[in-house]
Amino acid sequence: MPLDAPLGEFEVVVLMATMHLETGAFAPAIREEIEQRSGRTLARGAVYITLDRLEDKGLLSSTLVDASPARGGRPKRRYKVTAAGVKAVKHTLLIFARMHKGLEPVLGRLS
Amino acid sequence: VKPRAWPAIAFLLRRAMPPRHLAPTLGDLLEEYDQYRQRHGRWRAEWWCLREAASMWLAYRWPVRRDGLSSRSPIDTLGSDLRQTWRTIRARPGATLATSLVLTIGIALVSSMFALADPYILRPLPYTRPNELAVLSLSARSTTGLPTLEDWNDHRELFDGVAAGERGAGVQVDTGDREAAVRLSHVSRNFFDVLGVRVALPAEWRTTASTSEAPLVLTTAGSRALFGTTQTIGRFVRNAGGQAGGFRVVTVLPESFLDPLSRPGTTADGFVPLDDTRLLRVQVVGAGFTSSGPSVIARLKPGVTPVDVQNRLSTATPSAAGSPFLSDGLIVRSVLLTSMLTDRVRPLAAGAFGAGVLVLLVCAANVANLLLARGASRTRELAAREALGASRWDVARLVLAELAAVTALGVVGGLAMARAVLALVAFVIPAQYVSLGAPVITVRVAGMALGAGVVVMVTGLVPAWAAWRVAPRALFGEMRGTDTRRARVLRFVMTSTQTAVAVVLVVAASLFGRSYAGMMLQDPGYDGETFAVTAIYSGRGGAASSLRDSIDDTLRRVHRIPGVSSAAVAASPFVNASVQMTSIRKPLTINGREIPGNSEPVSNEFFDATGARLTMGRWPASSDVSPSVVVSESFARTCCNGASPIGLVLSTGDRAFPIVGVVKDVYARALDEAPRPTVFVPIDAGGPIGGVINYLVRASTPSADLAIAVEREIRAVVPTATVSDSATLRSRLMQSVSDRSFSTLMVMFFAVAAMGVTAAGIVGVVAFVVARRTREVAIRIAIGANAGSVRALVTREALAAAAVGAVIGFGLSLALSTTVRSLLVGIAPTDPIALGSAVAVIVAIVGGAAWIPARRATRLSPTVALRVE
Repeated sequence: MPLDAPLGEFEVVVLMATMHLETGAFAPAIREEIEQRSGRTLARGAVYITLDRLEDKGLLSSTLVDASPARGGRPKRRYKVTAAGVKAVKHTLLIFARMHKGLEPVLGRLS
Repeated sequence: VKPRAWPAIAFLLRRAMPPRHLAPTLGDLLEEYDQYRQRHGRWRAEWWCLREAASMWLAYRWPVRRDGLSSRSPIDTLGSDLRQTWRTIRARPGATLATSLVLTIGIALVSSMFALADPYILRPLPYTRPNELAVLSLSARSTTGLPTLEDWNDHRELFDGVAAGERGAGVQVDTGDREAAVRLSHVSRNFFDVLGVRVALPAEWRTTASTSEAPLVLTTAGSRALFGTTQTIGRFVRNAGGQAGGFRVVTVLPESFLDPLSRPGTTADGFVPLDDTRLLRVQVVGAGFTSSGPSVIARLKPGVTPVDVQNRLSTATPSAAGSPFLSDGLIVRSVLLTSMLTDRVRPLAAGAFGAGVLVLLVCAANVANLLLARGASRTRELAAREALGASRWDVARLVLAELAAVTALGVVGGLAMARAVLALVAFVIPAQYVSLGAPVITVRVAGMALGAGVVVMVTGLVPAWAAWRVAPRALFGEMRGTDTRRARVLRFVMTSTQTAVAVVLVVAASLFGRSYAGMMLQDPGYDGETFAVTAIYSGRGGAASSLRDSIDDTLRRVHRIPGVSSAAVAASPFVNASVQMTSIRKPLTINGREIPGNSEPVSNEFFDATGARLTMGRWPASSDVSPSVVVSESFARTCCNGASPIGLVLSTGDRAFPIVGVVKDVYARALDEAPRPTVFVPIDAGGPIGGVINYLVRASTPSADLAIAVEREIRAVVPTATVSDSATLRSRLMQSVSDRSFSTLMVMFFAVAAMGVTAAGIVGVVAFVVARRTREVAIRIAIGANAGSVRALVTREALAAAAVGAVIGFGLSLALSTTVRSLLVGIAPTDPIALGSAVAVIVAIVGGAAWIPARRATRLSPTVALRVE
């Protein structure tokens, strides 16, 4: 991923939530994960359309699993971060880290 | 479990999302809905699901673009449209207010008229399957073989049930705290079952009760009047005045109960059982028959019509068409209860509502017209917007947003004004218009107002569309704006349509007004200041001879009241429509030839007390050898083809009377009912008389005290007599035409509103032409045009449209004239004076409306006008 096309902040957050959830990375769970960790409420549409976009970019892959009667027989979509996705996250975090360097007096240490 | 709105949600998301993502997304939503529902309940889950689906729809439908520009969501667009509309309105508040006001008038009229007409046109009567209920009226010339309630309940092939009821007289009761007068009707025990009124009736209502404690069913109003509450089951009321016994309240009817026995304006406070099961009581009085009996209400079997009932149950036929004289046997007349309760009011209610709709259409055309004129002044702005990249839809939406704001103001204002109109109407509305419920703003009425608003919105789409069409061209070349050929045609059609509608209403108002004025000015044939009191003597009270003695006794007592100069009786409901009396009388014959007419039994001083006017002959005198009679002018015309009837001998039954005089026709029923040929027969000559007696008193000072004094004397002689409707004959006459007064007032009200709104429309059109052609007018004035030619130039369009509309309006009025014929008294629907005055009013208003803005054009200063342009 070239430096001139970094990921958006929300895209990074979604990718990282997907990584946290490993095999349980379904859209509702990803949304809940972000809400819990960030403490903010997300619009359903924002999560779903971001997942779609990341998949279109090849940063996520998805498989259809478990159709159940509670879902009206419709399958679930399980997401997995691709190698390109991992690389893109690392790349973006690296940019953040470089930008952060030298700003410790102003921003303090993160986390 | 799916949410209720699931089909709509699935449909919207299917349209917004890529198909490969759809199924899992819908699955997620459904699964989470189920969890949410278990935690928070169904309705909160429904709402949650809608919000989540909306979030999905917005995100996929209007995604944020990579270039940083976002395509706007409808919410953003709506916000900006509203801000823009607010700016437009704030820039020219007068124009918006004028448009909203026109709309407010239209919506107020149509909603208030709908509130008035609704109970009579659309709302079903508050009974189970009301269209199966029929009212049967019976008459007979036989004292044997008369039907009873049991007999007719056995006619299973015709009826599902037959009930009887007698309208009640006032009864004085004691509630324990105080004494009160209540009106109690007697009804058969199956009365409420036949009507299908859902009310719990206890066993004591069904079975014969003890004589000391009759079961009483109270209406909600009756319960409140007696005890101040509706929780009165089990309470006891004693007969007042030391009489034994009383009534135990067994149930209270629901508020919606409608008493089918009541007369308009009076309703029973309660019901007690009627144990007399005879449906008809016939008495032989002298040589005639008088019949009386309860009202009979039947629930017809499905498929049985009132005519079937008449044909099956009647055993006699009228002797001649329209004649009340019977051959021996029973005559049954049957009419649907719905028709009986609503037929008299329905044409007027429908007419009022129809007029309301017409005025609304005028208003809609006007609003469209005003918006069109307004669009003209905004052409440059709209064109500039389009040139800067706004789509045509964006441009048209600006016009629509303004229209929506105007409509919203109009609907809210219209409903508020309708409330005020109904409050005013409550003062003048005749009782029969509220017998099915007073007009109020209900949910249906509010829905109607909204519907009217939608009609106006649709009409207003026309100028929005015009703005859409002309905007791109308007920026270049000449500022033709909305003055295209198409727009001119539209404006012409709108102006002529509203003029046509206004003309129809003005012609109707003119005809009604003239008919009403003619009716008010005609001579009723007697003196309006004479005081009348109606006394109803119970038919079971005794023989006719004792009734005559009672009347004589009462008259003697009335004469002794201070200030009374003469007193008489008429044995009929004299100008009192609230009393119904059917009596069977012998035919009137002269020289063996039957003359159609009424005989009116009156006492000696009748002519003196009423001030009836003699046109020929003399009054009957006590010195006459045998009792003589006076006839009315119309009777004289009918009997003798213009020759004098004086000296002829009139026979009725076995009695004969010489005719000694002719009086002017007497309006003895109602002011709008042509007087029937009448013979005034001496009451003491032995003919049959019914139980309804009118005491007519002439006094030096007619007053409320006189009414009380006369009523007291009537009760002093016969304590069981019911006394009602004490009033002067003039106020009785006014009462007899109260519905006509009301409808005339309504039509005039409408005509004024329609004409006012049309005038506003014409002012709008001329002002528009003046505004658009200011430069041309200024140049013409500069090169010497005179005021007349300028006026002609700017008013030509509006006046031509108004003229075409007036012609169409007159055509429509003539086409509709057969419909209003039955509502007019004494004049034809083509009455030249009424039509002529309508023309004069229309010409004056249209001319005036065009002249005011045209005058502004003639006063233009060329230098100022050209500089402005």
